Amino acid sequence: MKDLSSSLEIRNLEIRIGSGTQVRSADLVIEPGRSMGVVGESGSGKSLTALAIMGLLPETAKVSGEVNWQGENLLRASADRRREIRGREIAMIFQDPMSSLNPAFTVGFQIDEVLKFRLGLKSKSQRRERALKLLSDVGIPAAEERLKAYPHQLSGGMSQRVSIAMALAGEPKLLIADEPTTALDVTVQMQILDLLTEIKRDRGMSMLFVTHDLAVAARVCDEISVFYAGRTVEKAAASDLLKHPRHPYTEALLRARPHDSNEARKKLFSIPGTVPRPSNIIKGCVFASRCEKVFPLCTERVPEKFGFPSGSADGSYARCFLLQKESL
Amino acid sequence: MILRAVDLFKSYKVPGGRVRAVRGISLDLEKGKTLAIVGESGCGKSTLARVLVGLEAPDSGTLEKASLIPMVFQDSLGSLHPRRTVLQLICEPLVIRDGLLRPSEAHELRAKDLARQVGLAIESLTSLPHELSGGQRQRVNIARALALDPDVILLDEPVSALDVSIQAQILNLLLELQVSRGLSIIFISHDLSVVRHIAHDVLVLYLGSVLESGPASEVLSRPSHPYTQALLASDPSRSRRPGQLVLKDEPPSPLEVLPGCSFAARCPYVEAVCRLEKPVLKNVGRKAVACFPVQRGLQVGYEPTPNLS
Ligand SMILES: Nc1ncnc2c1ncn2[C@@H]1O[C@H](COP(=O)(O)OP(=O)(O)O)[C@@H](O)[C@H]1O
Ligand SMILES: Nc1ncnc2c1ncn2[C@@H]1O[C@H](COP(=O)(O)OP(=O)(O)O)[C@@H](O)[C@H]1O
Ligand SMILES: [Mg+2]
Ligand SMILES: [Mg+2]
Repeated sequence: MKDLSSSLEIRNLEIRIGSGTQVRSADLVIEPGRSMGVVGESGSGKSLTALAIMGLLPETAKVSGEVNWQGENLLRASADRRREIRGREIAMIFQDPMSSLNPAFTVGFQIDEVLKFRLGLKSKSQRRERALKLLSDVGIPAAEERLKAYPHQLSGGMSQRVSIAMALAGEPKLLIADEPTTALDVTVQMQILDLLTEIKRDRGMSMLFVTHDLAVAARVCDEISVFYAGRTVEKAAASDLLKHPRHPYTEALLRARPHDSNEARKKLFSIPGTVPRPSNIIKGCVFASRCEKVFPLCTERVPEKFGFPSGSADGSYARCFLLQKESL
Repeated sequence: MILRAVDLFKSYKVPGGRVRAVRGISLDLEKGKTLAIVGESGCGKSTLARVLVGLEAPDSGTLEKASLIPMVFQDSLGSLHPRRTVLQLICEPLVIRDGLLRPSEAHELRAKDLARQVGLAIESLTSLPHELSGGQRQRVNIARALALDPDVILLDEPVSALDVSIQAQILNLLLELQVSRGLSIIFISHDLSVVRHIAHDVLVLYLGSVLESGPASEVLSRPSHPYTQALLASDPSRSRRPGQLVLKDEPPSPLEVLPGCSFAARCPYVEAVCRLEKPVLKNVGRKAVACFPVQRGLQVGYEPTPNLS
């Protein structure tokens, strides 16, 4: 039997808020102890998908599909059950660390609250010890001092470390990180990426890492899922995806970045047109309107998942009719 | 020479002391060239930018420039009046120059031509800023910057908030404009892959001073200063070499003024002299480098790995 102890399976997730469809069909599978990158341009539905897992979507959102956590469909779970899972089994950190920190309280007080209420640690000295350990685990020097600090006294990198410590306080099995390094300098970003990799390994935790940057995802993730206009268009092992992108969108994303091998100041490849809006009704492939390789079928039917290398069992796929063509 | 700055200083009084944001920066910009300014946040890039374009006066130092220098910011919406149409927005600099209240017919003709040059469709001329995408708004900002036919424009992180596919479109536009108008560009960015693609020359800033400068191809392919190497090594699109420098911590407070090299606290090659005396820029090959060990011949021999491979 499959080990369900900490696996997440999202199938055909659709999210509609107001008149648009913001997430058309998201698919994600994260095995225990593995890290999955969710990569896509802004507006592709990455954050909404993450919030759907946490049960933090706006109340007006209409959600369908499945979000299975250890075999339980969270979309059908009660509010109490979801609160129980949130923070304790699945925790989340954000681009702006201040969104998980309360400016009015010290770092120490906030970590203590989590340990007291979420983890149920009764002994004050035990909690203090645990808080110090958490801060040192996330690479915060002089932890004693930092417990007394208020969030605004910390640099961006330090606050992100504190928000990671808070997320870890409940000993989650899955950590969702939504663009946690986007607001940081590259040098600090690298430190946080290293930290997350280390924490995930040491704790045997799973991680869902959301980012707009393929290179960042490849740094920390075993696998990457590419989102475009609310649909998962490709999934593959991280290193494979960067070397051999199968979906024309993934390929275009990679080509549009300046490469060292480009001749300096020569025209860069850019993707023509613009991303479809949530209000657009799309019959076929979401990328068809901008795809260089489009052919008639692409605008008629939604491409199913074509696995590769063809017939492989590792679950890599792209939603693109070209793969079907090639395998014929 | 289209712009020359010599020994610029700029500081701000803040509670608890003085932030010395720009500490003795000199630079030259030639016609038709792009000079990039790179460095971590807080190193003084935007302050230097404001001094160069004349939004703020330097505390000391001299600035020679041929013409006005319009500026384009990262936040494409912030500099656009929310209730003016694209056409009105592009006319604005012309209207102000001519001391009028409304655009003349000539202004509108010129604005339409500028819109075409920056790749804005005719239909978008009647749009309001919030109806545009980030990329289109940045095109409007570039059109406004070009309205008075400047020799130089300064762009402060112009593509940092844009998605990669749109970023490529805006970079292509800048490259085209540079060739067609002989435009000189000052380009502030923290993305070294972008800088490597579009800049002729680079200044690497740290805590308000230049640590390394020279041709982009040299500085970013064969960095000499340990800080430049560390910055390149932090680019997530480059795979790591074993044993390569990884920067710890964050830059020290800009309030403290320590003697010696500003990078000493984070530098793995630091020597006693580095903490006592401030190194000045000296020529090392085709670059200028402010680092005692490097000036004496230290070669760390770091070459960045190719990006995204
Ligand atoms: N609360 C909301 N109400 C309505 N639309 C929303 C809401 N949150 C996000 N959206 C829209 O849904 C789409 C996907 O958003 P999001 O998941 O935040 O994208 P990403 O994280 O990939 O940038 C976007 O078009 C966005 O404008
Ligand atoms: N108007 C100001 N008043 C006080 N301090 C300022 C002001 N502008 C910038 N600074 C400080 O000067 C330093 C350099 O800032 P800035 O030029 O914005 O850096 P960068 O653009 O490289 O991020 C920072 O420490 C910043 O806090
Ligand atoms: Mg998001
Ligand atoms: Mg700045």
